[in-house]
Amino acid sequence: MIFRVKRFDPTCDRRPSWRAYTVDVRPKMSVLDGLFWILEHADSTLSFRYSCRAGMCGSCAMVVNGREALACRLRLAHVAAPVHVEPLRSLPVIKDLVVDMTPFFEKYRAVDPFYRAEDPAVTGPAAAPAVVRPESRELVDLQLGCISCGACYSACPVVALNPEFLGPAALNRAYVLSADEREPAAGDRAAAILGDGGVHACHAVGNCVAACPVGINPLLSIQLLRKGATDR
Amino acid sequence: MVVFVLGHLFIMHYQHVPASTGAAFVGRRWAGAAWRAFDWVLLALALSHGVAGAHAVLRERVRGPRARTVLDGAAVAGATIFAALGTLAVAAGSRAAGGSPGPLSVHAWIPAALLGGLLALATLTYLALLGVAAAAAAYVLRRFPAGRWSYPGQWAFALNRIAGLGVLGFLLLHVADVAMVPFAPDLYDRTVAGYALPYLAPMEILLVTAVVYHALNGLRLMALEALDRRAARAHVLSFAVVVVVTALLVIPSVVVLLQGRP
Repeated sequence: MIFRVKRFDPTCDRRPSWRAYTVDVRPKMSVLDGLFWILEHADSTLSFRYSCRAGMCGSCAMVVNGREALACRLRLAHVAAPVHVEPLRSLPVIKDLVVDMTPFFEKYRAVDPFYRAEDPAVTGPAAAPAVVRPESRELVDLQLGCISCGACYSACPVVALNPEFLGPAALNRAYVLSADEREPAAGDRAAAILGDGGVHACHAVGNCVAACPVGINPLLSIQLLRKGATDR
Repeated sequence: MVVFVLGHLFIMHYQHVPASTGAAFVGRRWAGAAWRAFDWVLLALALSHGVAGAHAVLRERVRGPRARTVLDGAAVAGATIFAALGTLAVAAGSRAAGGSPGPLSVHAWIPAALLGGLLALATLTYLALLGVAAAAAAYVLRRFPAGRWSYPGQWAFALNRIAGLGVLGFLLLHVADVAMVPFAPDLYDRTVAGYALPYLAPMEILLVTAVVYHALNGLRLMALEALDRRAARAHVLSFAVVVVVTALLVIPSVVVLLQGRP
């Protein structure tokens, strides 16, 4: 099977280039296995990122035939040849398929992505255990499984066009926390959610929904934030 | 706004062909206060929506507070000028008499400039369409990576923007040409006659397509947002429905255009 991999080393290349490799495909091989085959048999200078190899860490997110995917989860049997492999979009390339996730996490941080139950009546030593209505968690729990792989960020054309846009992952995180009944009012997070790069910058393209490898619907979170579903 | 836009479109592209709607036609329509009110409301809604949309698109690319202030000012100034021009035309419109000269009739360059603008807009539209066709061909032939075009949402988004910007371009030209109705009916007739150029025929069809698609896609997005979790996975299906309905609605206007063109 032909692999065409986008190669780029900013320290010595002027621009990215596509390099073709013929990979000896075995049954049940994933795209990540194909990249390992290239590394071991054809080109030891190829760089890519991976960790868990089980679709849990999100490290191997990349663009395969124009769609964001986790390379470890995507079987070659489900991919049309030639297989075009690119790094995630809208992020600076460190080398080949390895991108610098700093802009992604800077925007993630902008929504104050931490659980902050600052109300002592809720979390103080004398507080009664927080009562959480199961129905209030119904949607939140579905949106909670983000692995921060950056696939939605890469697939979003608004991120590419508008550098201020926080992106689907950060806004999904903002929804998950804002919808948590144990949290006090959104506070600083609200400024980010409603600011220039917040929910109103989203154009409801929906690429994030299709790209998410763990089935989260970030657009739904954005719509619910936009409608004030988390106002308290 | 959708009701006003589609109503106007129906009159201009389904009941008539634009090349046959000279100053006499507009003058007859504007003899009644109701049509003038209709056209003015349409002007206000379409202009504010179009300028706001273009402003949002450009604001994504313009950085820095000073540049953004200039952009904001340009948007307000542009909208104000064209709103004033359109309002003036609608207010004075009932004086129009087809073919007769008016106070601005000495400026014969106006129809040429407007037709030039229309030809430029048509050329840009055709180039944009070629770009979309090239992206589609690349996706089908898989000669090179498909970019984000493998996502249906990308098509909906790109078509919405191209349609919106194209319609705004036409709207501005249209406001400028209609403004001639009360002040130079003969020049308006000459401009409208230029619409019959064969080069502009595809543009007319694309204009109808763009307006219908942009309106339906806007309604689609509003419906999806209103239904939120009940339509959480309906983006692709609803886009397909919009494309099919747009095609079905455009077909009659193509028939009218082909039958009505000289």
